[in-house]
Amino acid sequence: MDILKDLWGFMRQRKKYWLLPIILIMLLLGGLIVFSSGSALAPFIYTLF
Amino acid sequence: MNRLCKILGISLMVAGVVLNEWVIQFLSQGQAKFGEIEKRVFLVTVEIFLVLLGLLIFRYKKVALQNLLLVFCSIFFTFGILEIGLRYAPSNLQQEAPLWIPYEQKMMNAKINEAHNTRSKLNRYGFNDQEYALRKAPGLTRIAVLGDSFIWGVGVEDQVIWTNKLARLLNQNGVKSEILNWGKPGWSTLDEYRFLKSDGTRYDFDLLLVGFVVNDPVMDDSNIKRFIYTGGIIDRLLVQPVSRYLFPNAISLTVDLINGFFDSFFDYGYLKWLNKVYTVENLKQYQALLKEMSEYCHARHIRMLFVMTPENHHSWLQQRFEKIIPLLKNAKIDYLNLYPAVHEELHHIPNRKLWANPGDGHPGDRVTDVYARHTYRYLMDQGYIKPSAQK
Repeated sequence: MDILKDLWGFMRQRKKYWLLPIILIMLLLGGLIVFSSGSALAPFIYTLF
Repeated sequence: MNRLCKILGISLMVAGVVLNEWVIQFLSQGQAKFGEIEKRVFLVTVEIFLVLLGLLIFRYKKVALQNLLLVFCSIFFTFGILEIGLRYAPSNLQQEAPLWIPYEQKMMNAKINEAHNTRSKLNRYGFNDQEYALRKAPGLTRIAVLGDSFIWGVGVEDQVIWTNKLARLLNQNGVKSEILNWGKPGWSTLDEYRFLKSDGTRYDFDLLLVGFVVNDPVMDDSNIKRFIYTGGIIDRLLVQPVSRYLFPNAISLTVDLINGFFDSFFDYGYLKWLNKVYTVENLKQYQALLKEMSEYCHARHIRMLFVMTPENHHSWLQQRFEKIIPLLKNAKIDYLNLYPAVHEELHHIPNRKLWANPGDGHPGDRVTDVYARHTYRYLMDQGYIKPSAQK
């Protein structure tokens, strides 16, 4: 959390808000990797056309 | 400039407010398919985005445009770095359950299926096979096979489809024969039975094989739900254009992760759909279908054999098959369970390496080889192929 606070402080002070999308995308992808669990049981064998 | 910004801001806000299903259909020329949640999430996100964007441009004018450009560059830069990283990072495809499939592998799979699609359009029923005469030639053994994507050949070349291998084996061993591949992706046993009644029985054949796959007992029109799926609105308007020209792997990763997230926390994904297929209520209906099918074939002197084809050697497939076997016995339907053979011959190979291709989990060459050899042996040993049909 400290890292995020520091980053936010840095962005506010230097007015570098354009860094925000980079951080948000990284957080989003990181979160998805943690919360998405690939299933070893069933590879996707149902195809729709 | 200020006036231009005001007009742009108002236009964006109006677009955000009037955006609805009709506008999306119009923009996508009526080809976009909507999933209920996908549609709601997509429309709400785009509407909010457009209204906010319009407000910002209307209020802050040139400064807003400059900042927006900066944000756009920032996103572009992030996906660019991600794309480069994914291109050179070690592949995760060796894992049993890869988190994502690279764009190139997805395209390779799509290319194989596209070739089948082209051929299927020439077949009056949409099967990946040539057209056959209703009457078989004298002295020829004709086997009709009902099935789904395994018979249609999703993800594999024609020569890898197990029924084509079976036809080769029969002919190589002196049984003059031909196999009619009656299979379509997504077909259930119910769909197959409907085809048999409507068109199949018009054909003259000696034996009917039913290629049973673990998801075949579905008895309603329910389908597997994916949040972002091929042909859907997000796919058509966002994923396909951006993947094609900009960040194929970064987008592919993002799409697979989002789908994985929805599969984990919501009522989405293959496994959840399959669990519904194996509920007591659905299996009861399936039992009734099997009985009807058995009686129908018996009344018409059609010899039928269910061939149970597991896509790999994972034990959960055998567990599912064990739920179906009593139903088949009860309906007096003969069956051949290929799970023991697949397990015995391929258990030393990781399931992931048995895939049709790196982008598709259908059975690959090694698995279809086992299907064809064991089915051939069973047909010969059990007398399904009449000795008189052999040279």
